Amino acid sequence: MPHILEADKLVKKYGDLAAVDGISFDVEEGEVFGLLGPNGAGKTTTISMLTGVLEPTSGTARIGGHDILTEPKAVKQINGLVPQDLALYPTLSARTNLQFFGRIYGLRGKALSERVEDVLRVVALTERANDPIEKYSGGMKRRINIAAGLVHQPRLLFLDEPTVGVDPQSRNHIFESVLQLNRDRGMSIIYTSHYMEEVELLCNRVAIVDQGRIIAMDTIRNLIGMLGGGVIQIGLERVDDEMLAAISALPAVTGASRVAPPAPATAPEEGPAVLAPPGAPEPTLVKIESKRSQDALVQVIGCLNERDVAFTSIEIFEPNLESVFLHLTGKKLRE
Amino acid sequence: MNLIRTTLAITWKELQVTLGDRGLLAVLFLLPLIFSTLFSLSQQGALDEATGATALTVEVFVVNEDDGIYGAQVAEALKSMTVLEVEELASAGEADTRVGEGERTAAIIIPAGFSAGIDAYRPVSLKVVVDPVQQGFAGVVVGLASFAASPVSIQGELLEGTRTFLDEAGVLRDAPPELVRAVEAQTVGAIMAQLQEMRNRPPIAVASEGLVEPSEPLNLIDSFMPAFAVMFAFFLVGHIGQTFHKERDEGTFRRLLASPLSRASIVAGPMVAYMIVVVLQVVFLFGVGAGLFKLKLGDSLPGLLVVSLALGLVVSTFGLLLGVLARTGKQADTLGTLVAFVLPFISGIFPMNGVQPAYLSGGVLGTMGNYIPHMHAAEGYRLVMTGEGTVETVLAQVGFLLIFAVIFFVIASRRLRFD
Repeated sequence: MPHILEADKLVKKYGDLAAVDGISFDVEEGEVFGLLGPNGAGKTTTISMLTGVLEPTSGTARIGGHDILTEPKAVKQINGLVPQDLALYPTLSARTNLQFFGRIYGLRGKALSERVEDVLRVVALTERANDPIEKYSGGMKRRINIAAGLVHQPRLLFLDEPTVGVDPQSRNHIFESVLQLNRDRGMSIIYTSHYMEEVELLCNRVAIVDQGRIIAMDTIRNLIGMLGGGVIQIGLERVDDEMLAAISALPAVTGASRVAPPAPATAPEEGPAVLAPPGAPEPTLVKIESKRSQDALVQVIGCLNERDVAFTSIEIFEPNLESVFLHLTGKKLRE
Repeated sequence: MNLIRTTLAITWKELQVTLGDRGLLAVLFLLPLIFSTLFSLSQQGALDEATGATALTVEVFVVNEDDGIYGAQVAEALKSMTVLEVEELASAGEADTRVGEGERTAAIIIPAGFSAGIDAYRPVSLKVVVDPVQQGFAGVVVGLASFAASPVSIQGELLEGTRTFLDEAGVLRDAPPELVRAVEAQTVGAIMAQLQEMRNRPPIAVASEGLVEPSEPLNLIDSFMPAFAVMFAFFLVGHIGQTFHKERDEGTFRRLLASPLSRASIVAGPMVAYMIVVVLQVVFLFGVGAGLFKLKLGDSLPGLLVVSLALGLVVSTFGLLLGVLARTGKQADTLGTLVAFVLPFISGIFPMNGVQPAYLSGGVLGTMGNYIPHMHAAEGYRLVMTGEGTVETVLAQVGFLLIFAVIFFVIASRRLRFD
């Protein structure tokens, strides 16, 4: 399949801070490609560079065969953008909004009317099309937000966290619309989210982004296959190298390592949030990778009991993109 | 893609957003109308008193119980007086009662036999009844009634004089009575005609020169309406600045940048829209002013249009500058409101102690006004509306406004960031 997008070492810096630090990836024509990462990972900045909103500090990309730096107008005609914000004029009706966004892409007259009615059908809001956007529910606003990105029939649609703040019913409708656009119209889609369930449901391939870099990119099946089994994250009263070695040696365990504990929920001056008695070592998080999570859990608890070490928390991550992210970065997607 | 068409697409969208905001419309269109009307009316009385533009009017009843020619002449003379507002009644009794009830200030009664008495050279009199609570007007009404009766009084005197003369001369002693009456009437008529001619063309005319042309009363709406139009045009500045931030905060600006629109269209589209709003605002205010309050628009509508377009451009660029300089939309709105309230007063566009804008008197306001666009817009309007200005004669004011617009735009564009 030909590539609709080829990003080559894209960098965006603000002073010394690199929001995007050399991202490269390809998207095939007709593919739904996911950018998965926590807030602040650099997903939106990457999309902003690809859609011409931001100029890259270095690197470039080709979309539909056109360079984003030298042929921005041709690229923008191919792209459709659905921003994370509700980028609409709330006092105007849905139809007026869509007509405006069609006009700025050069649509006029009958062609414009037909396109507006078509996208209203796609998001199932034809009957409310003359109501001002400000009278819509959150989910309906999200759907019109998507429609505004579709009105000029883009070949490549960028959906930047399109389900933030959306009720389950509207979220399902958005998923159906995305799949329908891809299946029935062959539209290529780049979908960013920090909800791994959405990416698992919609995307053929995923790039996992963290701190401005792509840390893994493959099909979802292959990414999950990297782990082999689940991940257990256990909070211990104390831990040392000998204990880690003992856990690692358990038959159901494939590896164990310390994880930096998350920031305390309460500041010290706000009251006693400390579980251990004064003078006791700080509780420590240990990440345990396993072939089978349940077997590993039983063995780990037995090992701790033998050493008289109490645990403060246990979380089990079955193999999915969340556990892949945890495996790769040592932190959760939504931390 | 056609730059003009995409720019106009943004202009049209901006107009729809702006004209759909009822609160803003009230501020831009109704408030200046209300303010200019109230200020004009509240100060018009003082101005009229100062210039003597308003005549005293006294409401009176007139009762003519006489059935002769002289009574009718006096009644007509009273009705023709502009200082009197006359209502005719049939009986003196009714007039007496209604004046007593305070319906009118006074009643002037022409008694029965008034004409016959003059004919017979008997003393006759008009009766004046004055409302007891308005006795201050008694002298005025009596004086006016005497003035109205004076021609008739002269005519009576002439008639008696003519009779006496003819009688003593004995020239018509044996003539039939019809001939005697005809000669008397002809003589009196000739003398009265001469007197009327002298009244119309007095042999000695007294010329007077006033400071104010008495031909047309001064109308303060001519001064306040343009001043408030300029002042409230600048109320759009805060809205423009706020919209600038809103586009960024709500993500629509990102969507515009991701489209094939040129950056020139993204900036120019809203500016054209706001220019149109200012022109609509001026058309509305001046249209209502001319229709309801006899606002003088002058002879050059193109002149008014050119000044309005230049004013619109200054407002748009000023709003853009404010949007760029302010950190938040709220800050832009607050600064805009402050600017809209303060600058009109320090530019001297409002009349102070008279009808002329304060900047014309020179002084501090006159000097400061030169550096504020409000003054140049107000002066442009004043020149056109007083009949002195055409498109050519307001070019200086339009030029100053364009210089302000260029300065605002250059500063704004240097600080404008698209990312």
